[in-house]
Amino acid sequence: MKKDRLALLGGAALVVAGACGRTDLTPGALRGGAGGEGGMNDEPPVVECTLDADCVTEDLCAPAFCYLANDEHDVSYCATRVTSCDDANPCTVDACSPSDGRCTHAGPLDADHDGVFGKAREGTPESCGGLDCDDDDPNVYTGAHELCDGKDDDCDGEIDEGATYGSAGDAVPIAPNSFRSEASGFAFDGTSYGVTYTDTSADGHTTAYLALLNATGAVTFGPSRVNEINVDSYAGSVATPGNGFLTAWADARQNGSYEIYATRFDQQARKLEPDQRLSNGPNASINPAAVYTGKGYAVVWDDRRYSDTTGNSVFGRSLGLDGHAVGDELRLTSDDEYADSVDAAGSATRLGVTYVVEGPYLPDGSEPSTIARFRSYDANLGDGSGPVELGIDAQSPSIVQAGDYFVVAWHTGSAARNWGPSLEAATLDARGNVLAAGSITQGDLHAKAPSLVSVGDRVLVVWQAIPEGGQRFELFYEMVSVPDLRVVVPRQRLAASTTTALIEPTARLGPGGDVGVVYKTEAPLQAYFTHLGCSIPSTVR
Amino acid sequence: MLAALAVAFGCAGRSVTAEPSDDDDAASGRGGAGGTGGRGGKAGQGGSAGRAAGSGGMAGTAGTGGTDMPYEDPGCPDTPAPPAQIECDVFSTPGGCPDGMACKPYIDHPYGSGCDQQVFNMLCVYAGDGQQGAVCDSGMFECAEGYICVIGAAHGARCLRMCPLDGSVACPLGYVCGATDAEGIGVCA
Repeated sequence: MKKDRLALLGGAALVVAGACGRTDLTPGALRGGAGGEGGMNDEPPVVECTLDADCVTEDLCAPAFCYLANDEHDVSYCATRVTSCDDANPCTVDACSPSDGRCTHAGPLDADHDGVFGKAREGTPESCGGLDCDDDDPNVYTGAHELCDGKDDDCDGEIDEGATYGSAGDAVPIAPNSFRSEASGFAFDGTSYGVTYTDTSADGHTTAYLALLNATGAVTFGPSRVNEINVDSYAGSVATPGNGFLTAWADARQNGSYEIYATRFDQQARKLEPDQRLSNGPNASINPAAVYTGKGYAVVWDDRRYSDTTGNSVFGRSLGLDGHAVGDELRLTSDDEYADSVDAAGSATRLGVTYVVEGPYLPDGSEPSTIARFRSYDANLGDGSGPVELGIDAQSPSIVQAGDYFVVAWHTGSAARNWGPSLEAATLDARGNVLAAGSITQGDLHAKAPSLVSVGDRVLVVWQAIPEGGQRFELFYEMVSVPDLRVVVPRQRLAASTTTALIEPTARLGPGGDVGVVYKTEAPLQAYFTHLGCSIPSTVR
Repeated sequence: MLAALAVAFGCAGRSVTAEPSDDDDAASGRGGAGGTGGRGGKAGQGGSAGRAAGSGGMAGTAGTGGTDMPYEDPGCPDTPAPPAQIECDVFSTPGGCPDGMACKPYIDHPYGSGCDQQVFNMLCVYAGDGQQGAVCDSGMFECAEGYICVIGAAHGARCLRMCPLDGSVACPLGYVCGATDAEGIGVCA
């Protein structure tokens, strides 16, 4: 039930007419009537009257009447009486039409006009009988077909139940004419995949490009040069607001070392503005991760400006929707954190950042372990929380937002032996409370480089591994449940080669629930696209 | 003062070689002309002129303490690559360096408005003893022959084994040869 007017004193409220918006009244003659709301002034003017016809009604839901003089008013006066349309039915929305004063009682609700009433809206009970679990989405209702879209389309409480993923085609080279190429950033803007890659010519010069791909990996726009500089240029991270792409990368065009730059491209891979430099410090700033926050972008990176004092740091900077920086670069880690390998994910509500720090040196002088950590921020990189420790011997963590939670995955190892037999992961809420943690893969000699895709209440994990008995890195995928990190779809091979290692996969949710994956081959070093097709049996209702 | 020259993996999965420290310059006999002025509080970079044993470059003018300098896209005209200084071969054994020294890649990054190029060099420097995964916060000088100091491939600056990107020499099982910002040179990571 919603009432568009508040009824007082048993259904009728007296309001002194003309208290607001009228300038032709006699000022300050009398106080307002008993139980009435004051006007805009403490003692509003009163309109004297003899008959109801002397009072002007501007809203038929609050008609004006002439009230006779009484103990509190020594003259007759005009006042309105708000019509109560409350029908005492909690499943209807009660309203009054100002043009004719008639009450309407609509409902149950069908706000999205999909023909199915909503179950509940704010302030109404669940008992109203509607069967639409999302009355703001016309594609979601009881009886709808479940789709691969990360939503509970059929309102049965499960998301994408019965969904299966399978390789949906051969791998496609992203830059087939390149001497060497390496994919880097990857995102899907609702129309195209945007991928940045580093092209190396035969003479060793490298150039960063952005290309737009369709669902099967064919280049539809571009490739376009990310920048027009003479130093070697390296592709970086990509974020999308849904109608184009922002990319952030590192190059050493000035300042004697690597700095972070950013620019945007439209949906035809046309560059929208000159490069914008985001970092400004001595020594290298590298490894940027760009995130679209809904209010703009956030870019975080590894920074070595304090490497000779307090060690590596994580820095970040907020950008507006126009891609321009809003505010200064910020150091996101503290003096006692020797931090790098940063990654970030998030939305307008919260940004999750994960990175690796160095643990304390051991008494025997052996190499300290590394520790994965998590912090969260608002969209402007303020209101920081954490740090939260996630696991030791952690390398290269990856993060994804999954509904109200963040999932972080990493591989274990050390700088000398940069892998472990399984991937580790943790699920956290936006403030860093850990809900679950543990190993999420098994069966590998070496597992590393996890990439995560949020699919409703589950996460698709794509990683590179040398399986037990294997000879080189292959690509695998599996599905885990977000709340408890339980494996709900066991591992399957995504791609393998008999001649070269397949490494560094990056996966993103694409059209129709498909998952696009870019990766590279080791020798020759080339960037490829492949995708997993998603399907749900028609029997799933 | 350490001035790490780091070749790092962080750029698109690419390692970046660490900037050489002043010590590295001295060790390699790279005498220093005065450095260019630093920005953002950075001391100047040592010069690269001398081949005789030098004492390290003079520090440049201190920078402005991190003042945010808006970058203006210069619209760079194409220019030919500057000549590299190649005095040895990192993948040859011996690499052409005197005893006790090792051949390492070295990159001079520009300080200009944004249109200059980096200069790739292959230089003989004193070899350290740092092998796979050893910390090299002081730069390439700490790494043994066959290893270079990179950032971005693992936590911190690390010595990692060099490998040719053409695949002619494979890394041990579990490692892959990942590109660095040194032309044609990868590291096993």
